[in-house]
Amino acid sequence: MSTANSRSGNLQAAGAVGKAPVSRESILCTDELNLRPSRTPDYKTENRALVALAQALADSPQTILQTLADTILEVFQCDSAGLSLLTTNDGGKRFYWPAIAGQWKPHIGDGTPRDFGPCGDVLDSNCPLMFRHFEKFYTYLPPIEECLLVPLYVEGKAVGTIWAISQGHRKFDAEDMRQLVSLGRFASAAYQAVTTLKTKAQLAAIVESSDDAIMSTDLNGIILSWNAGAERLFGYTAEEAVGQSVTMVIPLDRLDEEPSILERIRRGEYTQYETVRHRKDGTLVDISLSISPIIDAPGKIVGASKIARDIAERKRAEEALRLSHVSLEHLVEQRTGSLLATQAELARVARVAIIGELTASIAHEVNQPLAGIVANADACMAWLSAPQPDLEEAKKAAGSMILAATRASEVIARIRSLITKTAPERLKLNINEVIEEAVVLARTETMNNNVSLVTELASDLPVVLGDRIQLQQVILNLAMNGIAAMSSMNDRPHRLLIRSQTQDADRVLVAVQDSGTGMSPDVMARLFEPFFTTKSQGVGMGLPISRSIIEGHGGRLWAESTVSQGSTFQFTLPTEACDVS
Amino acid sequence: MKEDDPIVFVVDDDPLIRAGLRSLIKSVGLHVETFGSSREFMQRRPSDAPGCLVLDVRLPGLSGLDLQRELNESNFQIPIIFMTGHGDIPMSVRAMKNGAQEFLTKPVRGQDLLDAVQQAIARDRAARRERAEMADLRTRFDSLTPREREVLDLIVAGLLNKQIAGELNIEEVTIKTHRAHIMQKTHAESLAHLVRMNEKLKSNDRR
Repeated sequence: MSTANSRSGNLQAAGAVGKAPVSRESILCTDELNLRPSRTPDYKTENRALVALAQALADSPQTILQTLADTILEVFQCDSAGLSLLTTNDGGKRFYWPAIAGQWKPHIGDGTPRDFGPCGDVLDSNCPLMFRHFEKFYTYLPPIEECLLVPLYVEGKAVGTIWAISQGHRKFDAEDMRQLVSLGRFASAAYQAVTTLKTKAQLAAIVESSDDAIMSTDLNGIILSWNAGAERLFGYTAEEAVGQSVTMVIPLDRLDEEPSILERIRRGEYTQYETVRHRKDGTLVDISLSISPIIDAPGKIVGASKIARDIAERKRAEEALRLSHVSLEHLVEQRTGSLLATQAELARVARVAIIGELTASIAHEVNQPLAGIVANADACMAWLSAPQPDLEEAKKAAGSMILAATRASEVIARIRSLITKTAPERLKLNINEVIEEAVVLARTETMNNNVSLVTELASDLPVVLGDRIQLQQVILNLAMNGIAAMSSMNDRPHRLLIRSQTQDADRVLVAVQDSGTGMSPDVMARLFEPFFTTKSQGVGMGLPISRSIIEGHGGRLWAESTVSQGSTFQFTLPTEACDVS
Repeated sequence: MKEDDPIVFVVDDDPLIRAGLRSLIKSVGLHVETFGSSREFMQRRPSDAPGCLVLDVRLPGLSGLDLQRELNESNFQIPIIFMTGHGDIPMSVRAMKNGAQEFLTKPVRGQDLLDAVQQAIARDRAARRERAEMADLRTRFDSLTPREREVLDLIVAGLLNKQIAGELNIEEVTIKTHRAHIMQKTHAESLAHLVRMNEKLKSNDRR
C-alpha cells in the first residue's frame, strides 16, 4: 500500500481486527537498540531542534504540533514522524493523529484503537518501544520497516505518543531513542501549552520542566532567567544566579569566551561549542553550550538564551574510546613484531632456496652449450670417418663447436661477474651484531634439531669493513653445517658455540664450534672443493662460497677437527684500521 | 627423396644443438628437419614417410611432454626420443608410460642417439605396415554383405556347410556360394587364413 497517495480516512478498518498471523512479541524489537552500533550523542542537532521548537512555540503555538512532527522528521532523517493523542470526547477509546510529517502525512486525522495498536502498547508498558513490521500483527496498519514510539505525559497522565518511522533506508539506534525521549519531554510541555493555557507563564513552565540547563542573559551577560536544570547543573539556585554576571560559572582561564559570545549574539548568530564551567562547589563540569539571540517583538536583539548540557558521560565514552585505541595500537605492535619474525624466517628460507635455484640454473646454463659441443663433435667425427669424408660438413660442425664452447665460457664469465659484483659493499660493521642476526636466522633450525646455541662474544671488538649480508650468510652457513654435523648424534648434548675475539691486534676472529663427531682427514682435505658434500641433500657449494666471500673481505676461512670431539670452522677479518682496499 | 625415405624431426630451442644434431643425423644419410619449438613442429604439414621425433623436454611454450600428450590426443603416431639436461625419474617414467621410445640425458652421445633413431624408424616402419595391413583387411571384410557376414561368423566358429545351412535355414548350395564369395572378397588362401585374418581384425577392434 502506498501511503503517500492514500487519502485521509482510508484506515476505516481501524478497530475491525483481522486475524493476525504472528504474535505481538514478534513485532517488538526494542532490545535490539542496544545491540546496534552506538554513536556519540548529537547534542548539537538536538539543541538546535529544541531552540527552533521553543521559538515556534512562542511564535505560533497553534501549529506547534505539526512543527514538532516536521522537526522529528528532519532531525531523524526518517520517512515519517508524528503524534498520536488520545481522544477526549469518548473517554480515550482511540488515538488520533493531529500532526504527521513525511510519508504518512495523508493520514492526519486518522488513528488507532486504544486497546489494539502500537500506541496503546506504549502506554500500557509505560516506556518507549520499537516495533518492526507492526502491520504483521496490527494488520490494519500500512507496512513499515521500523517504528520508534515514546509516551507523552501531561501532569503525570499518559495522553499519547510521538513516533518516527523508517522504511528501511536507515536503522534506528539507542541515540535515536534518547533524542526522541528528549523531544517527547518537549512535546509533553508543548501539548500542555496548546491544549490548556497558551500563556507566557506556560512557556516558562516548559523551560522550567526541561532537564537541560536553560538560562537567558542580557547583552551584558547579566543572568535574567535560570531554570531548575541550571540549578541542578551548576548548583546555584535561581535566586542566587539571576542578576549576577554569567561569569560566575566561567573558570578564570575561559573568561575571554564571554565577550566573543556576546559579540556573536549582537550580530544575531547562533553558537554551539563545548567548554568547561564551574559549579558552585568549585568542581568543573564539561558542557555542551548552545547560545542563540533573544529577539523582541520589534525584532531587536535583546539578549541571549543558553542551553547547557552535561557531557561528562560523553567525555567518559571518549576516554574509553581513547583507551581502546591504545590497546589496539598495542595489539598492532605485537602483531607487527610477529610479522617481523615471520619475515626474518622467510628471508632465511629464501636465502637457502636461492642457493639451490642458482645451482640448478648454473647447471642448465653450462650444460646446454656442452650438449651442443658434444652433438657437433659427434657429427664432425662422423663426417670425417665416413668412407668418403665430407670436409665441408665436418668444418661446419667444428664451427658450431667453437660457438658452443665460447658460449659456455661466457656463461662462466657471467656467473663470475655476478659474484664479484656483490663484493664492493664495504660498510663499518660490528661483527657481534652480524653474528647475533645470523643466530636469529638460525633459531628455527636450532630449535628443530634440539641444538643449544651459545655465543661468547668479546665486548670490545674493533670495527671491520664488510658486507653485512654476505658475512651473515657465511656465519649462517657454518652454523647450519654444525647443526647438520650433530643431527645423527644421540650420545651427548648438541651444542653449537659461536665465538668472536680479537686476533693479532689487527684481526677479528669468528669461530663456529660444534660438538659433533668431527671429520676424517679425507673429508678435511676436500672440504672446500666445489660440489663436495657429505649431506644427501647438499649441493657442496656452501663452504667454497663462504671461503670466497671471506677471502674477498681480505680474510681467511679454515677448519679444525678432532674425530669424535667435533669441528671448529673459523675465519678472520681485517679490522678497519688495517684495511687498505 | 623417395616416398618411403624416413625423416627424423628434431625439436630443440638451442640453435647450436639443433645444428649439431642435424649434421650428425645427416652424416648417416637420413633426412632431417629441425624446429625451435613444439608449435613450429605442429605447424608442419604431416608427412606419410616413416620417421621419428627427437624432442627436448625443456622447451619454451609447449614443453616436450606437453607435445607428446597433444600428439597422442590427436592420434598422430610417431616414436619419440626424449632428451633432457636434468632428467629425473618421475619425468622419464611419465614419458615412457606415454609411449616414448627412449629417454637420453644431455649431452647425448652421438652413437646412442643414432642407435635410438634407427630403432625408432624401424619401429615406425613396422607400425605403419601394420596399420596399412589392418586398413586393407578392414576394407576387404567391410565389402561382405550382411548375409555373408552371418555365414562367416559360423564358418570361423567351426561349423560345416550343412550345419550352417541348418542354422540359417537355407539350402546348402547357397551356403557354398556365400563361402566362395567370402574367400574371394577377403583374399583368403585357405580356411585357416580366413580365421587368422578375422581373429586379427577382432583383436585390433578390442584394443
